[in-house]
Amino acid sequence: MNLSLLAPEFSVLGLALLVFLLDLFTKDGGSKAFIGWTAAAGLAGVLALLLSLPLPAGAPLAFNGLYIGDGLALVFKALFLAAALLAVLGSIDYLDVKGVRWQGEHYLLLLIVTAAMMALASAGDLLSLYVALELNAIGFYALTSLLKGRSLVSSEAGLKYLILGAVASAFLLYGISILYGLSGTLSLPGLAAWVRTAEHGPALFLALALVTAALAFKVSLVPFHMWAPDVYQAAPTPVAAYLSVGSKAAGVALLLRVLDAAFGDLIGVWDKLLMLLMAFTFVWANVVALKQKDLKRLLAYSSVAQAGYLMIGVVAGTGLGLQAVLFYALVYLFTNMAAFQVAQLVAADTGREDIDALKGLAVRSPGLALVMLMAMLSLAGIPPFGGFFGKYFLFASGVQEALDAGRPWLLALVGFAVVMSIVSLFYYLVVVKRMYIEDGAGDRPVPVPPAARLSLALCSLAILFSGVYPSPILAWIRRALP
Amino acid sequence: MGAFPILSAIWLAPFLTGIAMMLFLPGKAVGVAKWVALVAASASLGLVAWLCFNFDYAQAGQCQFVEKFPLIPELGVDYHLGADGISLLMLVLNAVILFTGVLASWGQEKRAKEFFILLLLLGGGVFGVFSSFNLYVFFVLYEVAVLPMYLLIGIWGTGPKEYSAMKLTLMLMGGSAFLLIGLLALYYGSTPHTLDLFALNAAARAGQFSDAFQILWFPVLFLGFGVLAALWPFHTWSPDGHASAPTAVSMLHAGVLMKLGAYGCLRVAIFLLPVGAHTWAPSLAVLCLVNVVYGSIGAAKQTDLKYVTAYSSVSHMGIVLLGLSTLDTLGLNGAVLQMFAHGIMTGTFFALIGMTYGRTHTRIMSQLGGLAKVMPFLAAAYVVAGMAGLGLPGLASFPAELLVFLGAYFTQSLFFKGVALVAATSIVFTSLYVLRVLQKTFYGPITDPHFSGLKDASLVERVPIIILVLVMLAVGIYPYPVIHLIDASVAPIAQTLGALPK
Repeated sequence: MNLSLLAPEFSVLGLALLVFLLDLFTKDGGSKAFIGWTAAAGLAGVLALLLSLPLPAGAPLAFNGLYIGDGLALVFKALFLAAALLAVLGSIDYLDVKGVRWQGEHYLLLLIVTAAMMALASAGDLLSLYVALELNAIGFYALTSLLKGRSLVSSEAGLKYLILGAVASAFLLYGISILYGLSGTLSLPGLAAWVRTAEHGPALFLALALVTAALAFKVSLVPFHMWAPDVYQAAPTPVAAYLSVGSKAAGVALLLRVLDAAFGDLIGVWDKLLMLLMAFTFVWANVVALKQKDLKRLLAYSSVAQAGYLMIGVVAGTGLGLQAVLFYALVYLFTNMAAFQVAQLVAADTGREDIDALKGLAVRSPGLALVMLMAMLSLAGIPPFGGFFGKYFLFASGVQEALDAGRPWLLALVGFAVVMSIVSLFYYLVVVKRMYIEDGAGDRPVPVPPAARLSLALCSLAILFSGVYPSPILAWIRRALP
Repeated sequence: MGAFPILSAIWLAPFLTGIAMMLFLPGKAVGVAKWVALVAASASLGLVAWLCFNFDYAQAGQCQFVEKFPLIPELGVDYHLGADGISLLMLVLNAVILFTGVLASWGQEKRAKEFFILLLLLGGGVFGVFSSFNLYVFFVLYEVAVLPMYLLIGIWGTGPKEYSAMKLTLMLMGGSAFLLIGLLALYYGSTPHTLDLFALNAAARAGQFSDAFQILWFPVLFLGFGVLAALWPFHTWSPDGHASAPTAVSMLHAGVLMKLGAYGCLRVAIFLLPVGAHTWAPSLAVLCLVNVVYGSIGAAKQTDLKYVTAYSSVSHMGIVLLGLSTLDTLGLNGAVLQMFAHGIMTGTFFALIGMTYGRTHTRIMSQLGGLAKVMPFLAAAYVVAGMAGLGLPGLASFPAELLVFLGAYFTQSLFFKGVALVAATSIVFTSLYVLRVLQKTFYGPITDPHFSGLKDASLVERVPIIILVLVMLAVGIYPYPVIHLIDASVAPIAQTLGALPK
């Protein structure tokens, strides 16, 4: 067995342990920014380690196939580490501003959640998948309610997330148990082999529907999105940001592993189901987002809609679709992190979390407004930002598969997605309007602490680069995938 | 000529200047911003002039000054710039309008730095579109050119500016959503997959696009571009948008950006899907006819000077689109020339209205009157532009409209003859609104005592007007070189169309 495959996961866990010890030996009550910086530096180090590893050839296994160390997992791990790094950078000042008591625990939980997501991306078996998923989810329940004592809604959101998450887990377990009953195996490659010969009865369909529903909860597709707006609004902002990119990407990784890899032969069965969820998502998320007044709620609905776009590559089920999903997930990570970071800084300065708090931002802090502008346009899919190429790539993968394999519904769905992206442009432009067109109070700049400055700089560079010259990132993804 | 990437330089000069201003220019430096913008616009103008002198007119139908290297090879995206006669003409148009637009905004003081940055990004994007021959790059720059409009109108506009800005942006982006799907269909419909305009044309000639394919996708692409060219019934963004926009933005938008739509219709929809074009041309001609007639009647009914000009743009763009829908060499020539002529003319109009408004603070005709007595220069220029609008011989629009009407009339079909006749009646309405504007605004007694103290155009204001009027006169009096240039570059398109059984 090749334990070195797990080096990145072990490093993150080691880092978590270090953070835990540092926290143990510092006095409670004060700022623990240095723990945050330690975590950030550590995560950057692990990310560098991960990227310096040679790309795996084929799919090396560990723990008897419970764990797959392939390129797909590697790309997702890089994504989780980058997201965790940005979330930690965002937390450093946020925790002080909010006067959070459990600062050490916040970083500890963040790191554990990250390790869990990395294990998720490598799950080669429904068992390891379930364990990693639960570890990740439980960490997030705690992170969500970490403002306890400061904000009642934070506790409420944590509870809501816990209950709905538990229901989703039950769905998943039930689906898994049916699959095991039918096939006698839990390993994903084993299931893929079984599907080729098995009879496709209603029990299999039920199991697939249950698993899809549970994963749709994870990536927040309508109608399994209900938790997202409440949780994003009430959770600590860096946690909401991390949830919106990291947790969602983990769900996407699972969909790719389970639906596309293990049940790829049944694509004609599950694609209708997923496409239906996507159509609901495009309509509901985009329309409801139009009416939002709270910035984090708006971003929540926007991220629900974005999940719908990501699914195009999953539904296409082709190599191109897979690449498109990975590319878009990467771009979306930086874009959304930037948006949440700006929202957080403005909220810390004005004490308000509604969209109107952004009024006059272009006059107050032109740089901050510019980053937010880039993020909004990138989310809306406007060139020359990464979101545009990402969406273009996703649409391209959908159109290619639709024309090559003769799937007219997929073509219609892509067309619908494109049209709905124009609806989404409206609410992104409303944010732009508040910042640039409407006058706010005064011209005092919004303070931007160094950690936030670093994270915003990283995000803006990534948004621009991935849009103007996506080729190197694309080439890296293509090399990583077999 | 060596390997100097002249076309990149043309679009990057304003574009990168805009970005550099964003990063390095201190926010309070109001006076510097306009000078930097002027330098960038002049640089583009100079480079375009250089391009004109070094262009090989004998090979106008060929793509020249080609720059090509792979950008995203995995998806068939090359950075592929080039210029044929049509591109050249449009580059000249954009260079002139951008330069004069900067001068016309010389008095801009509110958030001047941001204003000029966005203006330069817009202008740079347009240069890029007119010289790109890869559909992806074309599309990207197309959107880059459209989006600054939102802020330009929203921040510096007048009247219901936020509504107009949002409407314009959403409608134009809605159009480009169709383009995006059409573009992907073309990419995956061709073998080997390509986004190169000439390779796609070759694929079309080789019969790779089936008739059903072309008939399905032609309207998607034509209407997608048609939105930006204000094709009826997708024109409604145009009057509101142009009326709300600040002067230079109206100039650029009506003068150049709308041409982008028509250019796309010609260069992408018609060039790549000739069978689709032949199938749909009559239906489109009807829409264009509505444009021409409805636009001119609409203009005659307006009371706000900017709305008059905005509706007249709808009408004149109808003539461009009508010329395109004839699918006939003569009509296509007329359409391209009208694109140029209308760009210059409407740029002049909007510049003049902006200057007038800056003095009188009203654009409502009933409140104006007798302005020729106090500002003879502006009045004279308005007369010239107005005459161009109604197609007076000797000004640029005359040969253009003549070619379009003749092109439509001399097609084989009776239908188009009828269309040409009906479209020509719009000239009556055009005369009506042009003369009415002149009479009510500039002639007669001075209606408001405040007006007697107004000054005529300053030197900075005269320069752009003089340039625009001179171009209008030059092309009007001796249109032959321009028509010759257009004819040579329309030839490949006409060939593609002509290769089909009628």
